[in-house]
Amino acid sequence: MNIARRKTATLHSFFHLIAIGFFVLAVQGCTVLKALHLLPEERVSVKGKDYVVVIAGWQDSLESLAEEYYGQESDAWRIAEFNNISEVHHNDEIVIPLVDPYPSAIYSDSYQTVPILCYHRFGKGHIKLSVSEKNFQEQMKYLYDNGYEVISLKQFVDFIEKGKRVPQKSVVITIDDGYRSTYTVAYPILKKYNFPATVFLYTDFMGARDALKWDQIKSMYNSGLIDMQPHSKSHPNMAIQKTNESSTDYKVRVREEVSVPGGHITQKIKAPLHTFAYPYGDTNEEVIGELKAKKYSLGVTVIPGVNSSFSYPYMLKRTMIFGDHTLKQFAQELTTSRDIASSE
Amino acid sequence: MKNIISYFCLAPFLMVLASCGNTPYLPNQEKVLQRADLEARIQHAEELIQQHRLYDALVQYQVLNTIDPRSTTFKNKLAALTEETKKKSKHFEKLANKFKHAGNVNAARNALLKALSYEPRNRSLLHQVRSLEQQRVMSVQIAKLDRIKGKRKKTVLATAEEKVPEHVSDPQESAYLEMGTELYGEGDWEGSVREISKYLASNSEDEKAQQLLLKSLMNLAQEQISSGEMQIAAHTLLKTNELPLPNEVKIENGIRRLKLSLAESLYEKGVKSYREDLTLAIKHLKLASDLDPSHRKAKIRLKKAYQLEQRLKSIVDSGS
Repeated sequence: MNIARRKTATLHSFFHLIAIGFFVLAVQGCTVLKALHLLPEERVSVKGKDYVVVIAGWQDSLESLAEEYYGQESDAWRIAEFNNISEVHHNDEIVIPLVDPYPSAIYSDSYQTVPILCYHRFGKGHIKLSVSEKNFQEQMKYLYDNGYEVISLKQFVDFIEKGKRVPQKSVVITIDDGYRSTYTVAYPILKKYNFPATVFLYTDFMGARDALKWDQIKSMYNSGLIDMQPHSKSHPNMAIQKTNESSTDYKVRVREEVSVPGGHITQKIKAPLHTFAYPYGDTNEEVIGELKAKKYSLGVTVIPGVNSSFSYPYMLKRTMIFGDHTLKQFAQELTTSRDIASSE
Repeated sequence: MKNIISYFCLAPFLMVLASCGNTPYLPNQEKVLQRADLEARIQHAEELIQQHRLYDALVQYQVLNTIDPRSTTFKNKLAALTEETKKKSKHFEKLANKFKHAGNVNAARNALLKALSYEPRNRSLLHQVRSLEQQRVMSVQIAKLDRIKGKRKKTVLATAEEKVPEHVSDPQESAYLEMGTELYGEGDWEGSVREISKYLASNSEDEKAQQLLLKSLMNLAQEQISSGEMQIAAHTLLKTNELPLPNEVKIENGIRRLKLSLAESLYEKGVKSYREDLTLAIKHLKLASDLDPSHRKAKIRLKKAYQLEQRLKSIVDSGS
């Protein structure tokens, strides 16, 4: 009986050894397979103060890395841009900047510019202030097909205030006044391309025959795509003191033109206010002082041109898009980079 | 026998387990170092130095230092590049100040941008260039406002009947007039009034636009009267007082007739509401008197209404 037990125990030990042998072989085998790149390797990374360097694993993508390190997939462009890549492949060496090395988007010989497009009315192509549905559709398609990133004005606020950079080919869309065609013509097209836009309302216009209705404003705002910001109460030229108007009366008028529309917008749709569009694009120190007092971040004019991280935030330039603009003219307005030496 | 089978079952399991695991244990730093292409990055950084893109090279050495923090070569390179970029930045900042003193804003701005390209995180440089931008854009704005104010002073006569006047240079302003004219053609009087008024805000002396606005106001008032909006119509007609006289007799007569008939209707409404709603009566009588300053009855009634209102107020005040 004892001999039989001993035999069994020996046999057990033998199989133990065989099992361990298999295990070692398996581990070795895997190492060899990995060395020959026959098995996918896991991601490895090293984190410094300002950068994370990642050797991409087989499951990594720009989006997954952006989600992990920036907390949002939409920041994938930052990784793509820094590494000059459009996608992540297994074993790629990817650098993820934790602190943006170019917060002002100023590079060795160029700087980033952001055009802010300014529309008014849509639907009739034969007058300047009205862009036809067909033209607007073509312009949006052009942006989409040519890799432009339409960003919200709020993103631009963060760029100019906090140095939170925006994608290289960024463009902002704004629509002035609050014509009803913003809802009936422009909004469906913007939705189709998922392009954000900011509508500047002058509130005395609300209720007019061809003005937006508050339920339309609400519906657009609630979509998360369209922001609403003030464009004065009655659309006067706020930079010009009227003849026979005292300085005190002028100041009161400016204050009212700034605060009334902002009040309406916050009351009706609870939109946080950040940007004011000057009627006729005109402003002066008095108006700007009022905006600063009301904690606005930006003021937009209609001085033609593009903007950069170092633009004066209370006098941003905008490019008017008119009904008679050809697609070629439209494309020429989309300057997203300028050389330092040759810039005006 | 059972044991034998169980051991054979265990072996493949262990194999799977091992294949899922990592290569023999190494700290992450070592693993990255093993797999990263340091040579290529060093070469890239050196090329950038050759191209005088010192800050870009500095960034590459920061990355290399992250991959291998023990390398003294990387540390030394980093220190040298940091010093060099700072020196370059200072040089361009000084240059910018020279240009500023010489009054060359554009050159100063470009020099500051160059300084910033060497030290992109330098907030002071950013503020300096922003302040120059403020000056530049403000001067454009002031020039535009001077132009508008200048236009207001001189009377400019429009020439062609349906064309936008030649002196209109601002595309947005001319667009408002164009749109107002278009809406007038479509019979949208409210829109026409709104857009032409926007245009006139910067071109207040444009007679052609003023005449078009007068016509739009007349038509709009007529439309408002037809839909029973007497008070609104009165306000619309009163806006014509701020404009010069119409140069077409037909329009002048049309506006005058409308004012007189509306003043009469409002006077009657004022008389009717005199006993029931004094505030409303005052509103009607005031509008009637404004529309037709020669309406003596309206003036007398209005005076009486004010007196009555005053008396009622003093009674209420003494009572409280």
